[in-house]
Amino acid sequence: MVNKVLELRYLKNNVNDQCVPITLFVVCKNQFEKDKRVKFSEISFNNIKKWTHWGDKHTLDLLKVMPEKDNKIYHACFQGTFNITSFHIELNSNIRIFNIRLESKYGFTSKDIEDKLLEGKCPMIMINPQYVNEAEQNITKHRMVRGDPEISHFIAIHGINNGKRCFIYDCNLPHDNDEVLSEENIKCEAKFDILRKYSKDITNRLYWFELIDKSEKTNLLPY
Amino acid sequence: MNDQELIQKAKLVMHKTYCNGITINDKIIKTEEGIKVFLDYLVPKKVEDELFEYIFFLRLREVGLIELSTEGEIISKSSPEDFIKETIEKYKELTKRKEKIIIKIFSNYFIRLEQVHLTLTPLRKVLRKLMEQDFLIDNLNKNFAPNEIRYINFLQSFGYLRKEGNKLTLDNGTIKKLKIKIEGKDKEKDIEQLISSIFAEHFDYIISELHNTAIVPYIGILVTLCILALELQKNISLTINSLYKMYKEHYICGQDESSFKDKIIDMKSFDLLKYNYENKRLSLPDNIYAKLITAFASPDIQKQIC
Repeated sequence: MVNKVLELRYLKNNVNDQCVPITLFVVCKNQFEKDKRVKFSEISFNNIKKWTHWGDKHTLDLLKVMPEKDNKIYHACFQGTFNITSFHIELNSNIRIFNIRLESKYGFTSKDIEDKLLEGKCPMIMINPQYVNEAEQNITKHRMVRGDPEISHFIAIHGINNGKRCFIYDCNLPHDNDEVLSEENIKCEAKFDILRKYSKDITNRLYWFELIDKSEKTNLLPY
Repeated sequence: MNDQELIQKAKLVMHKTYCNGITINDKIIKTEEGIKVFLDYLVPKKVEDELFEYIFFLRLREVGLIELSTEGEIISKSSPEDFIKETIEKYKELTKRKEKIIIKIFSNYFIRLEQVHLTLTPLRKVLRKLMEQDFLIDNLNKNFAPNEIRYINFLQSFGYLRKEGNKLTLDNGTIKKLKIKIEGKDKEKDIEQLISSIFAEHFDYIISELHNTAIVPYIGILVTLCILALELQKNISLTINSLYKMYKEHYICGQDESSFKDKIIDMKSFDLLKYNYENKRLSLPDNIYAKLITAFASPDIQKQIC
């Protein structure tokens, strides 16, 4: 068991419940920005948002005829929505030209998280946002989830300590523009058991970005 | 398939078809062909007070339906487009229902607000005159100003006034249904009670048809704050800016933040809101919060908002 923390920069805050594209974009940028095999400059946040968004595909015609008030409510209700079982499909079909894909593994252990971090990859999970009530938040104003919602949130795990404590990038928490999550700056941490407890009823998958060219994978340096 | 397996199958269909936030409602109907599973949608909301940022979820009930055969085949399911449309309708409907209940609970406070009191003057005048005597229908123009006649037409269309021969008179039958005590000892008190009840029942008509839009911000401010307090079960203290943002979600806002603040100060002076000048945060006065929570705990109101 190891202590491994990856630095995460270019952090974005969640403005309109867009946890999936925000987390994917931040992780992808950190992992591939300096990798010459990936044309990261051609991957924008707006594109990731478009490729993972659920609502737009069904509302193009609806929105054209919607009264202003309904339009406002639509955006309040469906901004940043995603389909938990298929959000990666359109994403992968679009990012393959950049030589990357979003991989996933059903059922995961703290060892899987450790392994990914050691490979320089930041794993991500779908989790019930309630987990934050049992996490340690290194911020002045704590986030608290009320009620017992059956809903998914998307977070990245940028570090782990002895297989027990996970260090989390949660875009629902406030981050400064130039802030870097690192060993010295842990914003949110939770026991692995807490993450398991709140993620196993959702997709129960670990997600991470991978270069498509497997032969080169072993030569990848941690970012 | 047994019921549990069918529900699991419905869950799979639900997760494949719709977006994050969709969940199964308790209402599951067994039919001869199989089962009907109703779907709810949870809309996340954020709000912060001095200590915490809360994330809570607005539950919009029965916005979708999946029907499965006993073998687990899909008989029918709401299309994503229908689910979206239904969600928008339920969102509006739920807010409207809560708004109506909140105004009903606090209408007697509302009509005392100086600005609301003022805009309801024609209604007050009409009721005062009609409590004194009946009026000849042909002579209304002589006895009432044009804006008062608009209120007479409104009262007549909702049955508070009726024609008796060639006269117009208050309909005691309709007034009795308002369940208020008209004692006759203090006429002004009786009139205020009557206005309070009529306002509670018809404030949306008074706003839209009688063009009394000046009262909208006051309603919007109180309703927005009450809805938050109800969702969090906490008398939350907010900055004016946070409330303004949430207010704009439901109410069309032709005013800037500073005139919004003026309205808050008006409401504070009539004990409808509490405003702390030191931390610049507003909340509900304790008695208003207690009244709100007690009223919404009643099974009758719970039934109305489910």
